[in-house]
Amino acid sequence: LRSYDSPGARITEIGSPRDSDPAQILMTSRHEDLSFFATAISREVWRCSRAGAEIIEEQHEHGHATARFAGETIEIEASDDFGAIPAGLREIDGRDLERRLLAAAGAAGAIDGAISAARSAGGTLHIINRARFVSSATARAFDAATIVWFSPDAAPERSVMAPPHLIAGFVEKLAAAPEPALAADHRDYAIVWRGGSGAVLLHEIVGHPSEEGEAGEGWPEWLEVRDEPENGIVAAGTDDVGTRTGVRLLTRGEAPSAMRRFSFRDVPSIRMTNLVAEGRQAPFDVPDDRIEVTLVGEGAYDRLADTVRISVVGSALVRRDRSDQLQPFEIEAPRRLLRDALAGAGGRAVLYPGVICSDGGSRLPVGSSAPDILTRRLGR
Amino acid sequence: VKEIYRKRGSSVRVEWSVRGRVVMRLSEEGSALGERNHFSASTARWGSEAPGEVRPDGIVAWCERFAAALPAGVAIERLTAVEGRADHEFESRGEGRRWSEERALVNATLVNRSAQARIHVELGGASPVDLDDGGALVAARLLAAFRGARAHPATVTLVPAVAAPLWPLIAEAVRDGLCASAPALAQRPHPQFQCDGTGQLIEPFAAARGAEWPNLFRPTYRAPAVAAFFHAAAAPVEETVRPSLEAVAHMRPPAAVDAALVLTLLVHEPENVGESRRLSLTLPLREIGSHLAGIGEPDGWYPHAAGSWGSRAVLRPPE
Repeated sequence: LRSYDSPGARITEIGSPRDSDPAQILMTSRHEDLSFFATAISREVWRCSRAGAEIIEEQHEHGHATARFAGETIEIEASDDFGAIPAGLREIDGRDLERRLLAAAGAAGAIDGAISAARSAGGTLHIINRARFVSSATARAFDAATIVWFSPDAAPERSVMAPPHLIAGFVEKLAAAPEPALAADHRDYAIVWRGGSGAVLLHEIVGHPSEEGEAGEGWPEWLEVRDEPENGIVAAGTDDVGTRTGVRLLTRGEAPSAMRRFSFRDVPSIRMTNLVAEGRQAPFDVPDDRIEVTLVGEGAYDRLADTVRISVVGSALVRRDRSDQLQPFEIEAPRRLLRDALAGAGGRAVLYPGVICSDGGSRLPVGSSAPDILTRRLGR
Repeated sequence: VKEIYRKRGSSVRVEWSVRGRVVMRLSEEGSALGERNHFSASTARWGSEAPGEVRPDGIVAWCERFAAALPAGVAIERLTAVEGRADHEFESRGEGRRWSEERALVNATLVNRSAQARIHVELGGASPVDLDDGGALVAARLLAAFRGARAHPATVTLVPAVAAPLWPLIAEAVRDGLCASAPALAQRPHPQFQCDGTGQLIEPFAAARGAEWPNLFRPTYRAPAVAAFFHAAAAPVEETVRPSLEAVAHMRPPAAVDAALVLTLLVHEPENVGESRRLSLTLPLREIGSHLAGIGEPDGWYPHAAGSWGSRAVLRPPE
């Protein structure tokens, strides 16, 4: 196993495409319209408290899916029996692949620090390891990644997600956050999106529409939002149908390059992998009175109404030198209004602790990084 | 107590959206072990003969027929249709049960883009032949006629597909003691979906304050079973008012929020099928019984929660 770190990334790549391994088959010209995808996934749910930590749930699943692309239709044959690789793909040694996937999925990242932090904070820790093998006529990959997700008992909506080596820091920060006390109408204040949380706003107003090819125009010149699959928290340079991925400029109208699916039983579709926002020469003066957002519970984009809803679960109302933690609130607004409210960005992009993106029942972790972002007062 | 559950299934799933169409044939086998505070599940072969493979023809043809029957101006935003067969085994305290099931389920959203309007469709049965899309197509025609108008609160007849998702929500509110008045709700066995997630027969059982649901729902072997109210049915109530509107679909999934039932319905005047409107209602769950001014006999099963029987019902808005 070879592992490497990049900013916010921990991906373990297993073997090399040049290995003469049965599981490293590149689809031959006979299979140009086929993509073979196999996963082994293990999930653990830990209940953590000062009294101790125990596993309350464990799930292990593995299987494979062969997809045939026929115009706008994808036909997929999926099974969890590695002794039953579809006819025509006999060059794949199913049993050997099964063994290798299971071994890779069983080798989780070090989580001792996460469990210790979770015990102090009190809550539920989800540890998800996924090993995958994908092969098409043009690319292949065999890799594994671990993500960890923590929900505190006191406020389950305030969850954080990160690779194992980063989660403890996020959990500790979450536990140290003061209790919310004050209610305020967000429409009356400018918002400074701190700690990378602006990436969630951009995930909804730029990212999801771009998946449909509908990001639209009119983005500020100073803002660049990219999807960078190769630098993400979970993905590598080959997507889940065996296509090489690449950087896409979502604010220039490009769609993400990756077709993604988590498990062999999921359907692949174009999805973001790792959203990175950058502000160029767009520093802003911090307004005296403002809301500072640090944690987002969930977000949603309604394509039909072209509206966005964001549930803010960690924020403070800052009035000059005074700061009061705010109760959770929701921002629901037309996407254009939020786009036009983007007013500036400052500092370097930082990794936001976690976006698990749900679309049509398929839940995928999406890396999300952004600098501090200022949005103007929306008004009532 | 150690409980072992095994499932082996074969299914065909169609996912249809603006992005394209996917037809997936899936076969899987797995087992789950539940013990005190620990649950584990894994892919596992369990030896006996596999259930017959499901051919894609039936459910794919159903989807194509349904899509072709939609009126101009209405499109499928997202449609998931599944036809599956599964064999189940459950062991506990030295006893074992085996049962098999066949199901066809549809979950769809249809849109009228020019009016920015959406309706939700859920259908279920033992096979694609049971998926009666007649009501959904009536709703689709009224969605095509929707121009964004709102209806004033008025007494409204809910067609069975619209009433069905309300029963599980009200049953939970009754159990939680939120309702001072409510329709009489009970589990009503389904002739084909007879067993719960442990193989136990689903018997009639009335929803009541503080009740513990007697059956366990297990949509997958990969997650622990949870107590659920199966095949919810409302007892008939004689109609006491004459409704002026008919609701044919939910424009948002109905929800229980802050002790109230929040509904957004696509409605029309019964004699006028060329025009439809949106009716938004918030009904306090405490007095939900007084807002139901008539309930018909159960008429069709729908896959809401752990199953629900639709019936025509008359809803009276708050004063």
